[in-house]
Amino acid sequence: MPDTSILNTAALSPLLPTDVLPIVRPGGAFGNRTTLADVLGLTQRRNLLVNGDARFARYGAAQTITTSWKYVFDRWLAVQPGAAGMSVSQVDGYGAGLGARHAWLFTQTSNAAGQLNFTQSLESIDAVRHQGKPVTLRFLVVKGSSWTAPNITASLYTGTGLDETAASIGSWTGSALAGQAVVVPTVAWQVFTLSANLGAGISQLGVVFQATPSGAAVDADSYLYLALVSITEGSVAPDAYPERSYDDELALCERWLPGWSSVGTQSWLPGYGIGQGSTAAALFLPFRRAARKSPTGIVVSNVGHVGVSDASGSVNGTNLTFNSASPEMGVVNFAAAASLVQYRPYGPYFNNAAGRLVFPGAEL
Amino acid sequence: MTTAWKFADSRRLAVFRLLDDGSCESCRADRADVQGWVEAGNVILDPDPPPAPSKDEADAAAARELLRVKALVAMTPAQVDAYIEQNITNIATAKDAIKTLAIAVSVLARRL
Repeated sequence: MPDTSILNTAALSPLLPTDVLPIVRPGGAFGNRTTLADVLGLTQRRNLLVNGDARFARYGAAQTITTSWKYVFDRWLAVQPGAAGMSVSQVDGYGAGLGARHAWLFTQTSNAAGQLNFTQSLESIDAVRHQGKPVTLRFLVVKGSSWTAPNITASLYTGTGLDETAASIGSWTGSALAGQAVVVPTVAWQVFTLSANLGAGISQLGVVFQATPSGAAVDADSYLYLALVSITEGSVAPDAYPERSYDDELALCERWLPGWSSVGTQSWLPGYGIGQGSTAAALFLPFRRAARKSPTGIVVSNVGHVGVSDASGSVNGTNLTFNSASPEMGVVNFAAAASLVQYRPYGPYFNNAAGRLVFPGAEL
Repeated sequence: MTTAWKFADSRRLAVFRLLDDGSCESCRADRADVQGWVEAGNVILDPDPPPAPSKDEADAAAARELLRVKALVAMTPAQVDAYIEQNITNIATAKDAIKTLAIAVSVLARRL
């Protein structure tokens, strides 16, 4: 009978990650059976975190962790309250075939025993989409032989407020610990996963990694690598890091931190300037992506790394200060020793391959 | 070593400081972290005095203050035409008009 061939899905028992499924090969032959978990793992899910693969370091590739929260990499904050003695750098990835192009290298520079916190939180507009659903955290770690923190605590926190600062993770309005794993890093790379069910009313979600140094003396092997951090929807971790394209990942980062990096000794900045006198010009720099909100300042790699050019020559800067910003445009005051001309249009550029200009203040 | 916050200019709307790695941070003076720094007992340094005007700027300012240049700037083309017709009557008045034009051109030509 035709109607008997239609499956009544409501009558089926739920599939579990350990259930075994057949694999159909091209041509219709049945191949080796595999688990549902493996099949789900083959499906590339979106990483809810941004810059989880340490691809971007537009605050600078090497950062000192301080006793106050600060953004150290795109979308990632760090702090070591009480007693700080650690740096963190974006480095080439390692991992013996684990697929990490970049990693974060935490280096103990003293025996300071303040607890390391390394965190990222989602905007509420993204967090609410996962209300009542399971999510899975996945990350890779390896330590040096003299890293003094005995373990790493990875925690998924939720909250019921709106866009509260990531620096308050764990104490947000309606804060709840959705899941926590205490793992022991070794001198060989390990992959850890943590699944958690999110509450039905959550509007904030974030992850924080914590490690408390023992206070023992440190040496050149007092380091820890962290790489390929992802949070994906579902209770099964993907079998590989859910990567986005370079442009997509950069666009997500720029929503939080507009800015540019130099690609040479004459690397043009998108925008224009106008002379305000012989020693001053205003530079108008449109952002590639609209920021979350108006930035409140700038960080420039060096005050001499920006110059301006007109049809006849160029002038290097002696200072660069914040003027104002909207979510779509930044304005900076450019100072030079001399040679600028009032009302003359100028093209701004980096005059140094290490040039970097970012507009912080749009972060959570 | 990170330097103290300093006002960017006499408007005192923005501040800047040099960081450990040689980079420079600048932001609005009323940003929360700057205000917290002040509330902790620190004082934002006064801005550097504005640079002395360059020769071009000084000459332009002097030219703008000349009454005959001010009068010329304020005239319509028809008024300029009428002024020349009515007032350039001898060598002395012609030299005076040429001086006014030369002063204006001298300043404007520096922007070419």
